Amino acid sequence: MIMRNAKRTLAFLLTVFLLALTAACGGTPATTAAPETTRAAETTKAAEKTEAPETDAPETDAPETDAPETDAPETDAPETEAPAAGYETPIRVSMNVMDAEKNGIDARAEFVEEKFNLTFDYLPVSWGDWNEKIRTWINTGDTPDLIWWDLKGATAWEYQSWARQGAFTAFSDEDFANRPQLQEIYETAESIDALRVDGTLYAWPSLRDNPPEAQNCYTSNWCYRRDWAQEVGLYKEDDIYTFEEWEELIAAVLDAGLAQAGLVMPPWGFPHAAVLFISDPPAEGNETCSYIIDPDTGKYIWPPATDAYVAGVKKTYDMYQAGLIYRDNMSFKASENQDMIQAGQAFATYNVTGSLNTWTADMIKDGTIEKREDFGPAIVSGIDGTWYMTQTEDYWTVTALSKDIDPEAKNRVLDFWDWIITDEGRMVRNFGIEGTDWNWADNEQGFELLWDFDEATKDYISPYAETRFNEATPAENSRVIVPPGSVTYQYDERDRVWAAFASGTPKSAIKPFDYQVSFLSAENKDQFGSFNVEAKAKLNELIAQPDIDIEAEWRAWTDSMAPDVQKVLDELNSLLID
Amino acid sequence: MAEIQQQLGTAMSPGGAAAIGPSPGRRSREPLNWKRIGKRIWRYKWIYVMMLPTLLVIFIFRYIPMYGLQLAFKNYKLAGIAASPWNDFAHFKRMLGYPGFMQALQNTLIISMMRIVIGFPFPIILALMINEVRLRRSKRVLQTIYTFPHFLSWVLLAGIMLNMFGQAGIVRKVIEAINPAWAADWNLLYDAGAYRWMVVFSDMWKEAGWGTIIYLAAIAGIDEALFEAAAIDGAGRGQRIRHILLPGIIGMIAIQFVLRIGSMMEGGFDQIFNTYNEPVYRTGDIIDTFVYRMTFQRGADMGFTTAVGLFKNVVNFALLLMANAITRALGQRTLW
Repeated sequence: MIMRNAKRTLAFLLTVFLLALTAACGGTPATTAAPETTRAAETTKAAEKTEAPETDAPETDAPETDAPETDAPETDAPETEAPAAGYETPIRVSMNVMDAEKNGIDARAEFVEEKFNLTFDYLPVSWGDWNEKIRTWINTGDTPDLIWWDLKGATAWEYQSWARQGAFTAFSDEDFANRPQLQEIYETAESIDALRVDGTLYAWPSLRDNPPEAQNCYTSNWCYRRDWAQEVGLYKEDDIYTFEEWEELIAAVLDAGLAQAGLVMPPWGFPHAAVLFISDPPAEGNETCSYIIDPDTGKYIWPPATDAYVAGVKKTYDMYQAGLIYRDNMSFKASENQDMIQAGQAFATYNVTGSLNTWTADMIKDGTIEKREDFGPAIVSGIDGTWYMTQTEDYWTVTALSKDIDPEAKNRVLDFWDWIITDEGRMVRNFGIEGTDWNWADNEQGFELLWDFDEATKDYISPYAETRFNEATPAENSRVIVPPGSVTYQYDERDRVWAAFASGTPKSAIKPFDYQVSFLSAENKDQFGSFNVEAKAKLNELIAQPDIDIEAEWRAWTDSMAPDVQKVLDELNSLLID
Repeated sequence: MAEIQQQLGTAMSPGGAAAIGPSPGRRSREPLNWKRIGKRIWRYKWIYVMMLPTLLVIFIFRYIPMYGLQLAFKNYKLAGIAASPWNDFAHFKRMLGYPGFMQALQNTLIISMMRIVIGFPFPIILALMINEVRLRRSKRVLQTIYTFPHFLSWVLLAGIMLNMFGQAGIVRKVIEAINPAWAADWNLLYDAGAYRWMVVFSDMWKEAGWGTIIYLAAIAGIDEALFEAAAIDGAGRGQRIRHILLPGIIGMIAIQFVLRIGSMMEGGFDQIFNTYNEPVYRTGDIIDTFVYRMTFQRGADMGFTTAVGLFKNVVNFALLLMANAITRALGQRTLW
């Protein structure tokens, strides 16, 4: 009898345990915001490292300071005053960020929390899953309060469609009336109009940090091993190469056995960066729109079907087959290009000028190079002899507000955004707390940094795990502030590239960005897009096949796509030209 | 609790599969006696109670989501599934005309057929071979070695494959040492013709050991006396395999076969997704990867990808019914 009861009890306990396991599979309930505030989505601080760019978003120049990251998570938080008037009610908002595990754990977050009585919950995204998560959140109605989004032309139709269906809370003129920093952006940023849907603004642009002469282009150049170029005797003064010289240089470096791989590219840039990004006309898979106006007819055309594009395809094929483009680049998923460069296995990679400080510091530390100047930007003209820069939207990312965000939470967030782009706010974002991390000073930069200084790398050691304070990104991508006495290599190199571009040496041109086409939502364009994905897949498929007539194969494919492409072209010409 | 033991004892009867489906010739068409069924349920109530969590999981994660299947016939709107308008089978019409769909369907079926023809017998053969190893310790070591790859994820294996077969991989290096001309055109990972074979053989390498477990369990359930009697009668090793081992596990093989046919439209998402690339889409893109790309990379209407998923599952279900019926007609054990 005792045995029988024991077994029954055991069976019961086992059942309860299994039921508990089932319950554990369920989601965490939404975090409750402060009374009468926003519905915050569940908080996840699962460690999810940010990967190198994997989507079609090219790297920009802005998102880093030159201070190296460390693991030290906290500094001493200063004494802060009680929340200012109007901020008595605590507000808690959720937001998707990169490097979620590094956020909200330092004195800077504490400072903002106390100043604005505003707390952030973080939902992690990475370059690889960012858009996937946005789509899932919005389609399931479970968005963060602040939806930070890598919104590009290819996804603009979704933004418009979702805005029309009420997924977001609108911004109004009144939202910016008493917020001077935001007001200035609101009145001057070109993208504000493009982001309006039926006259209403639903997303706030995080403006780029490019200098005016950049005209919203990103630096379309390679970074290469100067020391190897010198070693094979093909180094060109000022790093300016024609395409033929560039090919010859890569081949020579490979022949000399200096590198295992010639050109390596981030996944989003493969293989277009090799030829098509720097040639005419615009490449698909890029931030620029994929339909362009034919200057002869004044009508929209599809670039992949043009002669210039076919020439680019053919050159890409030849380079891949010759091994100048690393063949396994086809399988790269994340930051393998960076790994190969830093390990001294590859000769050149695309568009990393904005990260040269950290890359070269790591390469010196690893013994890959002796000095920073051994790795720097190369200016390579396209196959038609012109060096093209690709213009993009004037923003890096945008942030939309959830349809469920509480008005008080919205106002608090806007107050925070307005403050974070004041001089004081920018200093807090970049360097931390006044008096603890920095002080205003009477020097060229106007401040002194109190962080430890590493004489070996000539860099300050940031005590903050997340150097750029992700919560602040939506306000704008923030100007980079270079601390006094620190390394300026990447900024100097970037300025040199822009100066060359501005001087017209070598001959240069801009591939213009067309807001009209990129942000147009229309039946056929929404259904077919710009065939970016298909064209990228086809190009990859063809370049991997030896001994084919690439030109014939490419033209056969563009012909096969023509019926659907024509539907979009007719629509564009009808809506935008006629 | 004696009842529990009795029931568990039945479930663990020799051959394992014996409890899965009705054995040939035992099928009854008697009308359902609900009172008797109720009594039996009450009698074995604790076993049913223990089943509850599993049933709950299946209900929550398998049945409730079926509500969303109606999306296949609607244009999805953020207002919700119920509020989304019906669209007169528009997604299905588009699906059948969509360039990548027919290719994905064809690839799925071809890869599944290759897995069945080449991959399905392999664990059976491996189980028979392991069973013939006389030293128990060696047998266990072998089983562990063969089973281990199952626990490696496809993400990891994709990296290993790249390091082995890629441009800088060890295989190419060896070939280069033998004949540099062969290595010059080395293109294995991006060769559409080779991709399906790589999928099938890498899957066999990873999963064959794991697949042997169920067959070894079935073999273990065969009465030892049969082998002893056969040995006394002078049966050789081959004859014992042919006349005792194989008939002893044929029921399990049949069940596994039916299940395999029932998942023919599953091409192995994890494996393909982690190992394929654009050059091999034309031979390697399967329905699951097609749906994934359309949903998350192209941002297609959720209804469209639901339609593709529904189509896949309906075909799967039909194949399962067909395979079960054929197996029953052949006199083997079936799923139901």
